[in-house]
Amino acid sequence: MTAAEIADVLWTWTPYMAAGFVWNIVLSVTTMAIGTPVGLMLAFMRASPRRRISRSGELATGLARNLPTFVMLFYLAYVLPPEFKVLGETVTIAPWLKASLALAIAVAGFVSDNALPAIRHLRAHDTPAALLFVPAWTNYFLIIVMASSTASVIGVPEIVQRANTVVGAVGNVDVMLWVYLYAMVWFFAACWPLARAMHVVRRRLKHHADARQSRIAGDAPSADDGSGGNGARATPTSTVPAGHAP
Amino acid sequence: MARAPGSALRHLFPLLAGFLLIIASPPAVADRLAEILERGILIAGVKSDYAPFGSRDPDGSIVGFDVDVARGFADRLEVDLELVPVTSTDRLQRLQRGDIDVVVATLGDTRERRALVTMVEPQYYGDGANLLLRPGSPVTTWNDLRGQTVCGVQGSLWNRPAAERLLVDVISFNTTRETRLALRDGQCAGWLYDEVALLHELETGAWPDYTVNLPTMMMLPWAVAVTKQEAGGPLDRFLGDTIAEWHETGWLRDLEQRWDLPPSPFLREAHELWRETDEAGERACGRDNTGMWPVECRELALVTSTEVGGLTGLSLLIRETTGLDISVLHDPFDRSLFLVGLAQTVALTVACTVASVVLGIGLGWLIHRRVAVVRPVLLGAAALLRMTPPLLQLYVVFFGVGALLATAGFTIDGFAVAVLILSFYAGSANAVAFAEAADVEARDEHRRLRFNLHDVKGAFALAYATIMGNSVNVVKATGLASTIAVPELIHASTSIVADKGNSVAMMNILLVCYFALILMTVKAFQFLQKRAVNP
Repeated sequence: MTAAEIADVLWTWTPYMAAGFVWNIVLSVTTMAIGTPVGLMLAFMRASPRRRISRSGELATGLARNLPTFVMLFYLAYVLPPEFKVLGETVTIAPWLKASLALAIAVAGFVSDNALPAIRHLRAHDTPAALLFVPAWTNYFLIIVMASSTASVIGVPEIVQRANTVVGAVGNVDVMLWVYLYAMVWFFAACWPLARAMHVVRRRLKHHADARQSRIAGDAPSADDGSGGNGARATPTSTVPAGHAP
Repeated sequence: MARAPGSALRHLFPLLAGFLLIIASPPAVADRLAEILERGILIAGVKSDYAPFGSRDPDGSIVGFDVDVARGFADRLEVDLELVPVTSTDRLQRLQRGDIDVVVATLGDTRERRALVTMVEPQYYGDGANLLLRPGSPVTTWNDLRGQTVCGVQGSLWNRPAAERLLVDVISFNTTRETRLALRDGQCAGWLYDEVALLHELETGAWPDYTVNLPTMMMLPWAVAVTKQEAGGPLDRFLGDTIAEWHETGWLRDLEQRWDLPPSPFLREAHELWRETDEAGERACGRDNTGMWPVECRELALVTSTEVGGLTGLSLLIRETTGLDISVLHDPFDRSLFLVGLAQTVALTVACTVASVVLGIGLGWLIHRRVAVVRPVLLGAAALLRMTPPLLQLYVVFFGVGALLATAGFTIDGFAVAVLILSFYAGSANAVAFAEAADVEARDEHRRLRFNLHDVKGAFALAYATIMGNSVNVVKATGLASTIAVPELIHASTSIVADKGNSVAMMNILLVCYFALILMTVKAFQFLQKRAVNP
């Protein structure tokens, strides 16, 4: 196959794959929308002065942090019935929603671990340090976009599943590598600019926070670096936070 | 906070158990035929990767022999037809869960599957197993295959008897698409699958010089399936009567011709059988007053894909009292599948952890020392790896690069590909952490670090907790290897579920195993920290 022919195949299937990528975004946004409030709730529980509440928040966070979502994806797909009867009403759970629920568990664990120091900073009226939560959260959203591709294994028609369909439909081995690389380009083009932007935002906030810190406490180093979770030091925004892989 | 995972994890098991109990409740029961008529739609599970029975045409809709059979049912009921693509692995689970009303998806009728679902009689098609052999293959009998590797499709009926009776090594892929790629990449001697599907593959012209020339193994009828609760019910009877009539009129044989299928001996015999009339001119095969077909009209010689093993009392007791079928305890085949899966997952974890730590120190050092050209290249490569899904990276290397290498006569191993991708996935994170730790150490000690044991160990100790977290990330990610047929835990569990239908039991065991693995990884890191890193 010539380069022109390969380009032609990719161009022909572009609308189909683009529609798949919309699924990835919808799935990821839903995941964050489910996981974030739950994670915030856990963080507030952990920040509570009452020991029983903070302890249960701690436990639930540990659970969310250590359940591999790829396994949960299979778990929910196989075990959760597609329909529930709640008060006579039938509630259906589509496969993509199951994928969202599985991924939301990781989000809850991450948000809980990262919102806790933010809450403490807020209570100490250290707004710039608390705002560091925003770029961290946005970067985790990007990690969830990457992880949304795993929904293909339970049949959600997102871009990887569609790339598989295209490979099957075209039926030419030469084109396969290019179809998968093309799907990668979609992820990279959508996520990299946002990641760069967050890098800049984080650096500015960090700068403000550090400046404020040194104004208040002289040159004493900050005791809490806002990482939480399994990592002891500040997790760079650029990688999957330690222990928090979805 | 480095203390948190270990101590908290120990208290999480009861919580986990409670969570599992809440989530595992069975779906409701109802008269399915009435439900179908009321909603005006028949929901049928069909294959979408199995031409000519069910496959996608260029505009994306599913067409094929099975689709036409399903449409035949819908037309008779005067309802619309909704098609749901299913695979060999999930078709029975989706039926049991109530996602779909009927399965018309190249489903072989076996005793084991009858324990899970209701097979509608009479069956609508029949086929056996064969092998699509690579060009110039020396194999001429099934016994020649002993000790060789063949490719299979996960959930296909033939994998287990082939492994047990022919003593071949079956590597099974999730879909026929992936199996095709693996065969082409030279991962196996041949593709073990339904004969009719393989003959169709040959006809497409996509396999020059490949052959299908072994004698047909284990002829087996295919059935339409409904849930266990529907046995003998209105839906079961309607489907059975319709198929019987189709055999009588020869409609299925016409359909076979329309889809260019080779004439099937099963359909010819069924046509003759159901066409016979008695003295009164009535069809000889009629339902008796209990609604059953007469014995002479039924297929009774169903092959069995399970051999009865030594049952252990505990496992049986659990099945009797809770309905959970922990087949890994009493079925030797499932047990060895599962133990191999566990060993593979542990091996993946260890290999990836070691490789990612080594990569992390090596690359992290280069980043820390701000080596010209190398640093921007490394950081760029890390961004590329980070902003593309690991799943796609696995596909690109295993299938994409694998195909290129295959043309040059090389084959690549799924396990090695998984270790490569996952090691870089965690290794790049380790590198960043190590580089930052080295920067901090250099700043604190007001000197340039040197690449000796003392300085490297110092930076490593500083980055230790993050590296531990990254290793936990790797354990979580090892499951991805199942998508390229590495027989690890998830792959083993879904294979067993496809055979036994014990999804609740297997999924819970799977989750507990992973939880324990993560716990042990954390413990191992903490142990090493006390002994070696920060004594």
